[in-house]
Amino acid sequence: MNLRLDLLKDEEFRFPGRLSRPTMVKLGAGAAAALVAAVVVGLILQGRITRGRLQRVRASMKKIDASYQIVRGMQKDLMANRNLQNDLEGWSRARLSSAQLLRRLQSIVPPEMELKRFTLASRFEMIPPPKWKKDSPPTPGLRYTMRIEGRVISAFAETVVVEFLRTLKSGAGFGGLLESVKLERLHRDPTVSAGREARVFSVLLETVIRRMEPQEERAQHADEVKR
Amino acid sequence: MKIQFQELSKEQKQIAVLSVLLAIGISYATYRFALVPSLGAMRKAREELGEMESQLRKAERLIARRERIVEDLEESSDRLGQWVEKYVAPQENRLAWATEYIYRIGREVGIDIEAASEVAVGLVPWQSAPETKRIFDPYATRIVFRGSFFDLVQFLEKVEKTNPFAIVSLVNIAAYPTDPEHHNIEVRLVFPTWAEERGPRDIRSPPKGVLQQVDAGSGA
Repeated sequence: MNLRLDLLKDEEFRFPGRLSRPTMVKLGAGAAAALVAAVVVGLILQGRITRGRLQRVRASMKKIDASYQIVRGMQKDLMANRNLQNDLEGWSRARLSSAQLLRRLQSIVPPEMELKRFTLASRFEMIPPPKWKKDSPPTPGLRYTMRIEGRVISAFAETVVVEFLRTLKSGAGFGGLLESVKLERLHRDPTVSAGREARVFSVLLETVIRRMEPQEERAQHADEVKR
Repeated sequence: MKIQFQELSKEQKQIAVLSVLLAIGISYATYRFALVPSLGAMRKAREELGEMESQLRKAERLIARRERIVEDLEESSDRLGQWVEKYVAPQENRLAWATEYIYRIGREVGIDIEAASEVAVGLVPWQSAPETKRIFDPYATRIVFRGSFFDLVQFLEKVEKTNPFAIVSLVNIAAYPTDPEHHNIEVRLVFPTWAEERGPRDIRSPPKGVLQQVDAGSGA
């Protein structure tokens, strides 16, 4: 049987390290109190500094506010003018040069073809926003339609008309501009005397819608699409 | 001296527990009613400072660009003024304005215009919704003349060169049976005109002496 005798009183107990436990507790408590005090003092100081800076910034802002409001007003005016300019430029960008269209048409009409009537008409349309931009309003645009009516005096009238349609769709014709080319009718011309082959025809061309928006907006739109 | 909690009297134990509770209560109250509001106020002040500083920087940058803004505004106002005067159908006497222009072009290219009249455009699609409304609406005129294909091309070319905003909205060429060189031609021209409640007053220009005013205000 082992017997353990502890003859030391509690207050006589010595710790093996340099600091006793009560000293460590006192030091810890003191450090904690000092830390808390430092934090509080820091916060108070920081608050004062922030308030001071805020007052200085407010004073600076007040000093230049009148000038700022004038310049800001002018900037808004400039934006309003740019909107106006964009609106007008949209008209210019959407339109097709009808003189150029007529010149090109003249250059591609085959010699066997006689044009009886030519009608070019344009109408304003709204282009709905893309699906990924549902909330934005539709954009106005301009669409052209051309109706060409004529007669071909040839034994191969059908071939001439079909070839003419092909040329209209190609780069030599109105290729890049067109959305659709439709042959509306092609039949024998009853007014031509017997023995001569002639066909009357009517072709309807429709261009793609041309947006009434300036170049920058279109570039922006393209960028958005790319992204 | 080591204090054993078990060795304390009941009253001492109560005092000890109460002291601990009080310490916790005071700590919580200090945290809840002093530290949190002051920290909140400080955060708010810091946020406000951030906003104010960025606003100040923005204002200073904008003021620094004042000369450029005034220049741009003057330039855009001059350009728009010229465009509107030359190319936009005025709010009053539009037909007279259009007729004068059309007959002048006609004379220049050597065609004899038979008639020029106003055409009702009807409701343009963008007029139906407020979010799509535009500053300029179309004003249409109908022109009738007899001429050759080349006369027509020259006329249209001249119109399109002299007014960058005019749109040829209709060209109708019908062969004239007795004279194959000359056709009956109908042309419809659409010019931009100020939309309702819009007008030349919408063109903004910088007030006179604005730079001096800005310099005086900012102490520059």
